[in-house]
Amino acid sequence: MQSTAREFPLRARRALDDVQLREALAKAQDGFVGKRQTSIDAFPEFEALRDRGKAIKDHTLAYLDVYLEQFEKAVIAAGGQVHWAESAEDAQRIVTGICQQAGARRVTKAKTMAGEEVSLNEVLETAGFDTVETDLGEYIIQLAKEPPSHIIAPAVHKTRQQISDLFNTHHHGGRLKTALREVPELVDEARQRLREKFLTADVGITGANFLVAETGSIALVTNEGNADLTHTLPRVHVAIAGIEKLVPTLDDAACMLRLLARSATGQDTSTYTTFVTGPKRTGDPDGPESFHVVLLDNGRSRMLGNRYREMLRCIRCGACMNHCPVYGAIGGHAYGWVYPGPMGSVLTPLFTGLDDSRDLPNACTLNGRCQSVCPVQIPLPDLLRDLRRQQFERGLTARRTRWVLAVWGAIARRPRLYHLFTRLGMGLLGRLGKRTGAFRRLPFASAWTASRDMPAPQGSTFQQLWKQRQRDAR
Amino acid sequence: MMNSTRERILAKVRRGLEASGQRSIAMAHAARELAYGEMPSPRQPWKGNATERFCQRFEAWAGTWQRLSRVGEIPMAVQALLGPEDFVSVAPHSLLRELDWPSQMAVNHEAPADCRLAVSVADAAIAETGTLVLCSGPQSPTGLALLPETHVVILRTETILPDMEAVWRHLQPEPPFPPRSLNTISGPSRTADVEQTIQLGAHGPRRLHVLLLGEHIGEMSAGGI
Amino acid sequence: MGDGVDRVALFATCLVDLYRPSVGLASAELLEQAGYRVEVPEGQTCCGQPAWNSGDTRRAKTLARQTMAALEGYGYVVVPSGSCAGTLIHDYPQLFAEDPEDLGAAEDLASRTWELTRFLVEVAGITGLDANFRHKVCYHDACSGLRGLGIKHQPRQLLGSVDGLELQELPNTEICCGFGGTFCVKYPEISTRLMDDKLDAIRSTGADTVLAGELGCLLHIAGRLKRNDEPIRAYHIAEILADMGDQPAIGEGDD
Repeated sequence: MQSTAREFPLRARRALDDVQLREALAKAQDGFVGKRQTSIDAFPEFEALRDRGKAIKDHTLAYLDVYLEQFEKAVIAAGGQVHWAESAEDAQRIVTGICQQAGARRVTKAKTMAGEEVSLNEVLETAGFDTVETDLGEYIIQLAKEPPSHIIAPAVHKTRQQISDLFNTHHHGGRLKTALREVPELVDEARQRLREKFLTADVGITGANFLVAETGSIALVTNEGNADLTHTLPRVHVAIAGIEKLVPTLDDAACMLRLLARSATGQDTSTYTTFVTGPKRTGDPDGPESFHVVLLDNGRSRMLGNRYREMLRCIRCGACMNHCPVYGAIGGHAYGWVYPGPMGSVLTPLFTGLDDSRDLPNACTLNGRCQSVCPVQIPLPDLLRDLRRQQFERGLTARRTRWVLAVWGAIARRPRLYHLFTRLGMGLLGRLGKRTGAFRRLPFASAWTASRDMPAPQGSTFQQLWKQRQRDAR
Repeated sequence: MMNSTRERILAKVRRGLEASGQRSIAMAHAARELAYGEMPSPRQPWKGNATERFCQRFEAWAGTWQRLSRVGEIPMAVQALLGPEDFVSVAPHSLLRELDWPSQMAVNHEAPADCRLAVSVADAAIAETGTLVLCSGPQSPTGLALLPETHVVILRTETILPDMEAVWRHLQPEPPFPPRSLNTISGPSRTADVEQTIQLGAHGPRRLHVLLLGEHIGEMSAGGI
Repeated sequence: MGDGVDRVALFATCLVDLYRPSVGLASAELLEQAGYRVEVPEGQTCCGQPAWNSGDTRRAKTLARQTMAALEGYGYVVVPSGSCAGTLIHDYPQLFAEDPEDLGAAEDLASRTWELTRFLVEVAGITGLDANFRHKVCYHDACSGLRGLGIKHQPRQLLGSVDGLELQELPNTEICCGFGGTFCVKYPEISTRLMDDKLDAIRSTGADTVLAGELGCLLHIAGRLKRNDEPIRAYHIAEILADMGDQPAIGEGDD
């Protein structure tokens, strides 16, 4: 997917004005936050579970080469094939090649963020394959020709009215009279439409929530069951996953699943959690004839060697964005690439370049809530701050910010100068604002005063008053 | 081409990790033991026996269940769930093949796409989460758990295990483990993609019903119906 | 208490120094009431947090070294701000993680530094206060104190000792008010949206006064309230605890 993160300020402002989006986001965020909290309140050792989740991922990443090779060997032993993709282009070529070789016409897809990362839909459609998203949320945004705005609930920004309209246009040629339809009706209609696609697909593409090194299994987590229909019915199953998705053992997967379900949707497990190992076996009544795993690097290996290795612990649960006030105000599209919210603000600059996503590390209040809910304890605010450091060192920080820091730094590092300036400055501002208590407008502070008054200082500095107090006491 | 990509990625990984040369799985496993392997994963605490816990959680997922006192009761129980026009897909499982299916029931041992009701046998269940475990294999087509409107699952109470880890211990000794598809299922298919409203029957079964066989069910005889 | 330990350095923070000196005076008052000898080291200016959060490590280090030198030798350093205390406690050791000659001093300072309300409750152990404030108030948990330093029950416990004060809990108190340091001027529209959500929460409590332990958030809250011409007033918690609630609130003039 082409990044539009450069347009963040414009898109964010537009999102703030979008009434329907605001309504959808408010509802979603309350739901996600509340459900997660309820599930965690019922799990007394949740902090210990987070510790373990972090330990599992840290260990796996420290031995990633070993586990990648173990996984590959196990997949081959189960009759599957492993493909290595260094870049998005590699992954596109591999998946297109598999579909062509299978003589495929129709391809069904279950939600895969790695697939979004390498623009699989566009590439497969261009190559002439009828490509159908089967997760209801993904299906909705595919009809709307939009990217996902959330990694767990891709259509979270769509209201029921908008979904009714989309279905009317795409399923009924705009002939339906009822404007707003009920949820069961909409879900049922999508079920019927997609059932036919499932039954006639030649290739099924899924992501993987985890890759299990010891068995060569991929773990798939859904509530709809669409991933299972996608990997069971077509002749060919392709799973695409980042190399960081590994865990050593099935036991480790069990632990990570406890974390994932609670953090993502507040469930203690998802409705369908499936471990797929190789293609159909002799005697199996169903399942695909061939099974492929595409292991995607696309910049991940580079992150292993620096402090962003911590970001590779991410299990794509979406808790950080559910708890992010900025995401809650502007939604996912403003972030401009596949991954929105806090985790996206770290990943997008790393994957698409710091220069093209200057706003993302800065569009954060460093309030730390994302880190406190992250199931694998990624220090997201620290990583965002570190990206700001890189921006500063490479001269990508806004000129205005640099200028203010330079002036402030020059004063603050000289206490006597600082005391003189602040005494004079605050004295003046204090006198000017004494009557009203606040300023409607101030030179150089329009970004503040556009929407807020600037409270006036009391007029003396604390250090002045303190010295006065000391003198009076003597 | 593909092989060189593989080597390049692995080399980059090793460079990133500052790992010189090949490291063995044994080394990794030893490190795993040291880091966390000796301790079990924290899990959801629960009281009472596994069957009761399973039933209670399973009901919370909108699953339904009833108790049978012997295998021979299965056909009647299935018949009670059938609509007038429905035909039944029954897994080609030894337990089910031997049963006396009433002649007026259209019983099929395939997994046709339009079947309204399917019957399979669970390989295990997880008490912690109220989850059924079904392994694909000659006796168990995966499609039966996905395609019908109603999925009926036979579950023996002695295979209800405390947690997922216990399921691995239980199934692992019997190759071929893991199967092509190991499905863990907690209730009927659902979606919350339209305005976060939970709606059952997204793509898979709208109804999931368990027929419990065996001891330890205590006073309860049915639930969630 | 032995000598050196009962000497407390008050690190007022630049925002308090410039905007709201009464918060500094109130803090000193509270510490003295608790039996400590308060000093305000002259070398203090800004802790360097804006530079650190903007990625300007070099300037952040300069200001950190200056602050560390100014606060050397005090048994306790008390800060009436969770975010600036957090900078001294969490950020300095990170900032100097690879500078062995400064790391020791940074870790030492971190171990001696306390946010004001936490210090009053956990170190000074004060139980009673000579303050009254007959108002319905709500308390805004500033994010850096709440999540970075575990400040949650301490301010509430202290407010419980203020005569006449009725505390109303804010709904969604974990959610940021949108100040975020430079964030509020880099993304003013987003920042203001978050503030408006916060104001909805504040209004819903029916409180006539909002308190916090963080002057940055308070300037933001007071600034937006003032722009809306709303009668709700904003004070730093130290001012109320030190019985200084009769002076004009933040952003309030003589009129």
